[in-house]
Amino acid sequence: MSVHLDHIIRVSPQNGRPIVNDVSLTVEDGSFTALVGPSGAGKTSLLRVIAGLDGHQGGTVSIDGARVDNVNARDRNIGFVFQHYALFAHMTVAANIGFGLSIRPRRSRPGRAEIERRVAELLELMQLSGMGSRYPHELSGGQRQRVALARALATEPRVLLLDEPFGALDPVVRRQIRGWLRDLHERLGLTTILVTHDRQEATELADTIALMRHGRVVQTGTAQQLEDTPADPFVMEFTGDVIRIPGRIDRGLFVADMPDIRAFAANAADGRGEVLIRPADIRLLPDAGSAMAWLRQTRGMIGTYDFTTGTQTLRFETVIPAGAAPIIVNCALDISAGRIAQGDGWIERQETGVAQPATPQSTGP
Amino acid sequence: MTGARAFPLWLPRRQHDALPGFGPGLALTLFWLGTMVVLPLAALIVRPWGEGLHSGMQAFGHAAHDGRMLSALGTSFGSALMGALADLVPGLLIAWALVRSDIPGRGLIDMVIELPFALPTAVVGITLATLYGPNGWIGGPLAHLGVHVAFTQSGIVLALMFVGLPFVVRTVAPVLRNLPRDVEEAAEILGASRVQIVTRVVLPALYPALVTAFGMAFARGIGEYGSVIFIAGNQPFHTEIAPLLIVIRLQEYDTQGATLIGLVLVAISLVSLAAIRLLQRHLSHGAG
Repeated sequence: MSVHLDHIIRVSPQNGRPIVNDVSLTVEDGSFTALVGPSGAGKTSLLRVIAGLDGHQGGTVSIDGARVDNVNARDRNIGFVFQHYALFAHMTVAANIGFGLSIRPRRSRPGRAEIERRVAELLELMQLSGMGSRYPHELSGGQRQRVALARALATEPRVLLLDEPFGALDPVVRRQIRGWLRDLHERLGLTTILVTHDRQEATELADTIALMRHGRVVQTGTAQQLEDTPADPFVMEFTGDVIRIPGRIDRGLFVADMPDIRAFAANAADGRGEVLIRPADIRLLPDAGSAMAWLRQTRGMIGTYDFTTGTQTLRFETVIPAGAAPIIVNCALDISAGRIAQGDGWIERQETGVAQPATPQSTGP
Repeated sequence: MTGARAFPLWLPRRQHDALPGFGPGLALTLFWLGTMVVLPLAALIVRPWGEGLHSGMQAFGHAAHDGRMLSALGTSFGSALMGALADLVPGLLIAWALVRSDIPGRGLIDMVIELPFALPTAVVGITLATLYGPNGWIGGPLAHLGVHVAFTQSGIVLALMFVGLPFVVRTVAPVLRNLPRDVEEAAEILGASRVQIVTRVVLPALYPALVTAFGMAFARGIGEYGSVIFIAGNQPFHTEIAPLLIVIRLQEYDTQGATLIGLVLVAISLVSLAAIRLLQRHLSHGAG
């Protein structure tokens, strides 16, 4: 089932400020989409709007082409896994999982045996066999997580929404559950939307990432697209390691404030600017300047360098130049693979070809 | 902890207790429990046999056939039971309103709830008797409808409801406040109606608190004296409560009879509280 959001606006009931600000997003049938962003970006709010738990003041939500704005949360048939699982503490695991089925009106309610069968099936699927008679407080975090998932899946929802479902788990369990969740998504043919602030988690799980900030979707695409062609400096910083090198644009050249950094062509008006570059894109140029680069650590072809020029030192990991000694004297840096930022945007299109700035999916009002 | 060492050796040594002075604390607790609770209770148990075993047995034999005492006990326990049960619904609703709604003057209501704790019980009794008496503001119209509250058992139950209500509100409100909202939202998303959310999710989570509240209101109701005697009418065999009968017996210099009633009162109370405890343990299996 596809989910389509069209210019969604949600305003904070407390102070009237927009929490979700004009978000349009299409989640394709069968896709795994991650809403990623720093805390306070409006990810969870957007998820709650999709679920119908919170209202929205503008825009439309459609599931499978049908508008659901006036459909209650209870009638949307959406599976939702809460951050803290929200299990019913006074019910057994089996009763928790079967809850969605057991409360249906008599006409559409499956028989008791049928519910039991379905619960057993889900317990099996979640690798929780034999735990049906336990109570939530007797389970570990990872097990509770899976009970919450089983409960959400019991009613065979059209869409599965996950709100930071791994936040409370330790890293090992987290990695296990991630892989397993992706499998489950494939196997059941679900349409899943995941909220997370963890870029790696999103990259690992989702096929589409919608990066959010200040209530807007800044950029949508695959993890690779976001990393290679970030729409703005924020996306670039969020999707990977970035070195920032301040400088200025002077008659069509970017000149760094630090010495021994090669100026490169920048077709923009004169003014301040800052180069953002992935460390791996930095090139060390031996015998091209007066700086010193000191190789601190080696990992295969990659080395951690302390690049010292004047009184300043930059530390970054990059490719070790062929035949270079552990200490390279009289060197310079080539940062022309980076992007020049001014304020919140890029000021120049790169002529390197790979880097084509993507247009943001959501535009402001 | 040095405190523990200062006290007898048989005390368990608690080396890593965050609370300082465990030893003195325990001693004080035992002393308090001994002088304030165990000693009077022991006296109560011993007293009927004070004039010899034979006389004690005889007193018990008499008591078993003392219709006035039995009916007073029945009135006391029956009214306490009804009062405590009747407190549950309004108590729950008030707690709900205090926790979940933004009604203006919530702080004031929150404060007023505790007034029955602070008021002299006699004041409560006189006020209720005036209000619900045949010529009272509420009692008058009710009498027209043929409903008599004052000087009947309804009056006793009403007084007990009044003194028991704060227990319910004060016990249920914190539990309700700590009940995570996402649990209700989870139920909603799974398709539960509002009624189902309340009956299947919220109320079951409150059952242990409600049982505790019931127990406290019930216990208070058994011992309640001041507020009841003004509205009860105190007719022997009808609206006479056991605590009042104790006072009457004492005024008749029948100490043995008075202690006997007290003993029975204590025994039944203990059994009831134990039963409530058991019910509570049964209900709270899922929590914690």
